[in-house]
Amino acid sequence: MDEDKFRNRLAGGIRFPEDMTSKKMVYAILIRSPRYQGILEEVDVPKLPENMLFMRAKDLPGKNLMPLPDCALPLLVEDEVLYPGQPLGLLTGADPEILNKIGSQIRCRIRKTPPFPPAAINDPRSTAIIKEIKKGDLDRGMNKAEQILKGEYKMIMPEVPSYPRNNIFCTKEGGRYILHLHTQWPSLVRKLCALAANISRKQVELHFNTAGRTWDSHIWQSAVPAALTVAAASILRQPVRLIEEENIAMSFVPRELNIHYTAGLDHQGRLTALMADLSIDAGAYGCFASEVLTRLCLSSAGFYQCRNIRIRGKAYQTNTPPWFPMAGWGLPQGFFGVEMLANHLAEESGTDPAIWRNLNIVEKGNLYPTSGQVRQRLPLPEMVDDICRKSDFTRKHAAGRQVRQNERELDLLPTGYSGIGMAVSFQGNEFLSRNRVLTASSVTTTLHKEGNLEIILNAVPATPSLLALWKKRISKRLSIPEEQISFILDKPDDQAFSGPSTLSRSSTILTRLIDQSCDLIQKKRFREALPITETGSFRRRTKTDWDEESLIGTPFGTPSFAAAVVDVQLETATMELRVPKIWLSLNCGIILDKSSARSFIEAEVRLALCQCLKKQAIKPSIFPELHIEFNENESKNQRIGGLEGLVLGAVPAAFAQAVSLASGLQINSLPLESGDLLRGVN
Amino acid sequence: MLIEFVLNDEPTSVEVPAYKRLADVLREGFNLTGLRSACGKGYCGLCTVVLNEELVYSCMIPVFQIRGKSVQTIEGYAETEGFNDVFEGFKEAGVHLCDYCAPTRTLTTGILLDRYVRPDARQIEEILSSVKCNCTPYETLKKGILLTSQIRQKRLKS
Repeated sequence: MDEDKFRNRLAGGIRFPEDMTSKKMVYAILIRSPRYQGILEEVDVPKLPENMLFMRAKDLPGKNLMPLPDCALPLLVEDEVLYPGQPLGLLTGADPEILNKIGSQIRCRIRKTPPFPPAAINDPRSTAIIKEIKKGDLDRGMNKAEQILKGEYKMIMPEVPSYPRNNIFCTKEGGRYILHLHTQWPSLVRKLCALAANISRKQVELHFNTAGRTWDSHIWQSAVPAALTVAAASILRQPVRLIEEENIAMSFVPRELNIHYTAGLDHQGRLTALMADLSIDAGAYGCFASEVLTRLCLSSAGFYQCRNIRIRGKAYQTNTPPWFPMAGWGLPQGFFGVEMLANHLAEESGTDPAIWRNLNIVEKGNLYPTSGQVRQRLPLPEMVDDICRKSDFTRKHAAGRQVRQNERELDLLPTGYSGIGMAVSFQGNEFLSRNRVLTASSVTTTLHKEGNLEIILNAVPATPSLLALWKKRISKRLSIPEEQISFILDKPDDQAFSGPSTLSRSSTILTRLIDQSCDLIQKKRFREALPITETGSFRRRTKTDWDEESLIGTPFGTPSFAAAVVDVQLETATMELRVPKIWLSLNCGIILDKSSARSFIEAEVRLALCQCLKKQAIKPSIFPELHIEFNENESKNQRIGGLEGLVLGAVPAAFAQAVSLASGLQINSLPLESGDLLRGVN
Repeated sequence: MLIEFVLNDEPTSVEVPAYKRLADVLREGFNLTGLRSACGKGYCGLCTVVLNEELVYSCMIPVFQIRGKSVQTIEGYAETEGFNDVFEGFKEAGVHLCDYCAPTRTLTTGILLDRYVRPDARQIEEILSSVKCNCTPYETLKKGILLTSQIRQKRLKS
């Protein structure tokens, strides 16, 4: 980054949507429904001053719909209010204080309707999606087992705070609506704005800031206010700034994931059958439920050798705000269950958890739980061995067990206990659904006559440093000075639709597409006349590779793997928990930038520990010493793998196992507080 | 309510309701957009300003409390030599902050390093905790803080 830009950034010179103002600008606030679960009969709006407007669903110039995978979410309530805080309308005016005052006086009346049936009842009204992975004959596997073990695991997922807020500024210039906002999914925002305001997609121009780590739980949430702001700007013919205050109703809804396992083991401790039933709250509309549930089922099945498997997942609807997809889109959360079970099975069969894993992980030639063949040797056994050696896992685990077993014979109660736990996980940056809205991705590269190279991405890079990395990479490949390379993150005239920037897709798929189009340009350069334009598009996998309906095949073409060991210390008197050290071994092909990758991993460790310890933030004083090992293969054909979700998948299960060992209690659910351990319950 | 105070070394006054938050007054009344109004409850630290040489969350300060006091924001701090130290230190250490937290992180690092000329581990932790953003690894930030401190010591000696 050049020096002036860096200085400007540090000095606060970068402008955000909330910093934008213009003449004749009006403010807008979303009016949300305090009541829910009923048919909206009336909205009582006090008499509005002349310059104020209250816009409802019927006033929108275009459609009041947000077409997302698995559902069509209304932008504003038309008839049924399903959850508290659902947007009823948009109030606009020149003074934000008066807006808030009048906004608080708006009342609504609803006719109560029955809530969604409870999750325990299999009712089609509440069940959004059911997915099932089936392999072999479960009954035969259970009959063959010498030992049948059961496990129930529960994880309550925290709401991830989202900064910056959803402030949006929209102005009209020369027939185009210019939007300033934050988004991870520019194509969706443009499509939705065009739908809501009944304009062409080419009339929507987006300007957005890259603002550090993006969070998947909020991936589509800026699209709704953006569409309403554009609609308001088109009605009022004035610039509009939407102010989104933090909404308590939208923030703190605990979401539960429950997984029930039944596993059959033979006399050697190998799995003969694995059955799991999992259920998750999908919120009011169940958007993205299909993709999230498929990923949850996949990770709940794990990657252990077992001929007879049945994993059944259910996403049920409730009267809570829509929140899917969660961080990692379901894959990390499922690992909590299967890795907890793996530790339980290892313990029951009297084997060290690391050895048990290495004995049971699928090998080349075996079948995945989804019946796809394992074509390459998985790197996991080496990673597990390596991390065990570095963390001294086997000795510490055995010592921890010994201390707990001989506890009654100790003369003195120790002031503290320590525990250690291990878990493994994988990540896939491809979407499992074949829905084009999710999977589309394209990069257009043009080499101009003056020698300048222009790259249209239609996507948001995960970190600002990725743009600098790409520039360096292209400059080296095409021998073009970095100053002559420019990126266009979003182009109104370009009709290409790109999926969301998530699951490390910007560093994996976009890098690959940029490389491909640069190679094509290199081939044509000096042979054909300038300008040369090349487009690289992401090709969806065929149905023979992965059948999304029956969940059969190989789900991910280029998975990344992680192994984690977590060290925990527990104070005897107060049951206070500390996590002094975490070891991570990651195999995700080539790492583009180690510093950015490390920062990403650190952020995920913080999120994972928040998930484990019921904390809103992990202070530097309690942040563990991190030992990260990137297992990069030197071979030329190495791919770039994804990182997102790897740590979130492995750390919680390893943490829970370590706490079980330190406390002597069977920990089956997260998050966990000292109070829970003092009470001796979990 | 008329409130007179010193803003970035310039005496000034503002006519606003007494209960208004300092963060809103600075952003809306003075167009000082380097401070961010994010969580609004003193958690994220992105709205930090210097009030009488103390770092405070401006979203938690009602504006009447600044009467007769001195307020410094990143825009004012960017004109000082202290800012240059942080700029050089962060640049040398390869600290890639995101657009959102960069101004506040610079301000808090600079101000706390005025207090802790040779920061120890606990003081570095205090500097790190001042802003809650996950964009940069702690290790890189620590390196940046230590380099800034060295650059500052050199400048003060000469």
